[in-house]
Amino acid sequence: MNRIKIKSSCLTPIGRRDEDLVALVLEALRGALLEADISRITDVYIASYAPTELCGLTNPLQRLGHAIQLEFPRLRATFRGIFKTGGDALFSALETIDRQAPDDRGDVVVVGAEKMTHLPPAQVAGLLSQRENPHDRAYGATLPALGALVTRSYMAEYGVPERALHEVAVKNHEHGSRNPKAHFQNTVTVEEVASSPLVCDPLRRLHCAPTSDGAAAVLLSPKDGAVWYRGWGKGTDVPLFQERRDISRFTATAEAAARALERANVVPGDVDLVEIHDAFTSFELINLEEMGFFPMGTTWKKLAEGGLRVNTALAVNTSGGMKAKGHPIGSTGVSASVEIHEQLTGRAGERQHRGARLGMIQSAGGVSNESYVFVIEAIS
Amino acid sequence: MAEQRESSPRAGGSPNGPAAPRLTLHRCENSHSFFFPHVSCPLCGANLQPFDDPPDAEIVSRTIVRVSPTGSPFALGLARTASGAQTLCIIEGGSETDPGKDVVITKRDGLYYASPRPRAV
Repeated sequence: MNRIKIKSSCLTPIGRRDEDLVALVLEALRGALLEADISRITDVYIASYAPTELCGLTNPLQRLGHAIQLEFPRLRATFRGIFKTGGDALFSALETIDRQAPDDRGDVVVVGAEKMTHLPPAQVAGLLSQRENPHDRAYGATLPALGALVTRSYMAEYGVPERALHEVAVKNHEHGSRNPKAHFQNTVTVEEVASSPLVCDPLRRLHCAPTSDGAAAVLLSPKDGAVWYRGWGKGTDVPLFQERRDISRFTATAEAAARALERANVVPGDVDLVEIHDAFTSFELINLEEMGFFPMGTTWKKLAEGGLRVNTALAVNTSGGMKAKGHPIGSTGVSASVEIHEQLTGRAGERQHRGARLGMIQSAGGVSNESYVFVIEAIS
Repeated sequence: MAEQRESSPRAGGSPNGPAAPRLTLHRCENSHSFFFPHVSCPLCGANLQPFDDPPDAEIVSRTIVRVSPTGSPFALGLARTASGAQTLCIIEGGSETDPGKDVVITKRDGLYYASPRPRAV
C-alpha cells in the first residue's frame, strides 16, 4: 500500500526558552532526523506564524533554510513555506506526496516553530494582530475577543455552564502534568480557574492557551514507520468572522473532519484519542462536537462524568493540549502529530493511553477560519 | 464598507428623537445580506447589490475586552440587522445592550457603534 508514514518525530520542550527561532527549529530537526538517511529527504516544509513580526526575520524561508543546510550539509531538499500553521504545512505536504507516483516519493520533513516569550504579552498581542484582517483589527478584535464572542454565543445557544470551561482547563492541566515537555506541568482546580482574571468575558486567563516558545518536527516516509496518515481533510469558513451565519459553530472543522473521516473510512466511534485545538477551553468542546464525537452542546456532560481523560473511552488532548502543553503557534499542528505518534507507538510515558490504535488531530487557524483534521493509525 | 446616508428617513430609534440614518448594505438575489461590499456573495456566489436597511439591530454576542492592545477595556459585540447582515461593533451601554437586546447601529470614523434603542415616550 502507498501509505505515508511517520518515520520519526520530535517535540522540543515547550515554554520560555532562551534559544532563538532558528535554534528551536534546528533542535526539533536534530531530534527528528537522528537516525534518518538525510540524502533521501526531498522536501522540507516550514511553518511559523509570525517570524517577521516577532523575531525580525525579513526573509524567514531563506534564513531558516540556510541554517538547516548548514546543520545538515548533505541535505539536498527543496524548502517550502513559510506556512502559517503546522496544520497547514502538514496538510500541504500530505497532499503533495499523495499526488506523486509511489516510485517518486522520498522522505519529507515538516517542521513548525514559534518564538514568542521574549516580548511582553501585550506587545505579542499587538504584533500578532498585524496578521489579522484589517477589518477585525480596526475594532481591536483580538483573538481572545473573537473567541469570547464565540464562547458566549455557544454557551447561550446550548445551555453550556461556565463550569464546563473550567473543567476543560483542569483536565488539560492534569494531562500536562504528566508531560515532561509541557509548558505548564502543574495541575489546577476548578476554583483556581474560576477565580483567574477575566481576559474577555466569559474567558478567563486559565481558559486561554499561553504564548510559548518551541518547535516540533515529523519525518514522513513512504517506506518506514509504525504509524500512517489514514486520512486528512481541510475546511474553510467565510472570509470575515462577522459574516458567519452562526458564530457558535465551527463549520470549517465539521467540513475538515467529514473529509478526513471519509478518506480514512472510519467513524468517530473508532477513534481512541484526539489532539484538538483548544486555544480557548470552549473551543475544545465545540471542535469535538463539530467532528462528530458528541451532539452539539453536550460534551461538557461527558467531561463532568469523568470522560475525555487518559484511559477513558476517548482521550482528548493527552499532551495537555495548547492549554497546558503550550502554544508556539507555528508548531502546534506538527506537535499534535508528535503526540499521536508517541501514543500509538507506546512511548507516551505516564500519559500513555492504553490500547491506542487510532488517533485524530484537529488544528485550526484564527477563530477556526480554516481547520485541518488528520487521522493517524498504528500499523499492525 | 457599508455606508450611512445622513439624509435618509428614520426607521429605528425613538419616534420623537432625531432621525437615525439608514444603512446602505449589500444583498444577493438569495437574500443574503452583508455590511461588507464583496464582489459576490460569500455564501452562494451570486452578485451583490446595495440596498437601504434600517439601523435597527439585535446584539448576537458581546464581551468586555479587558486585555486590549490599547490598554483600555471596551465592549465589543456582534450585531445583526433584521435583514440578517451582521457586523462587529463597539457597544455603548450596559445590560441594555446584552445579547438579544435591540440596539441602533451608527457609523463613526469608519467603525460601527451599537447603542440602546431609545424608548418611545
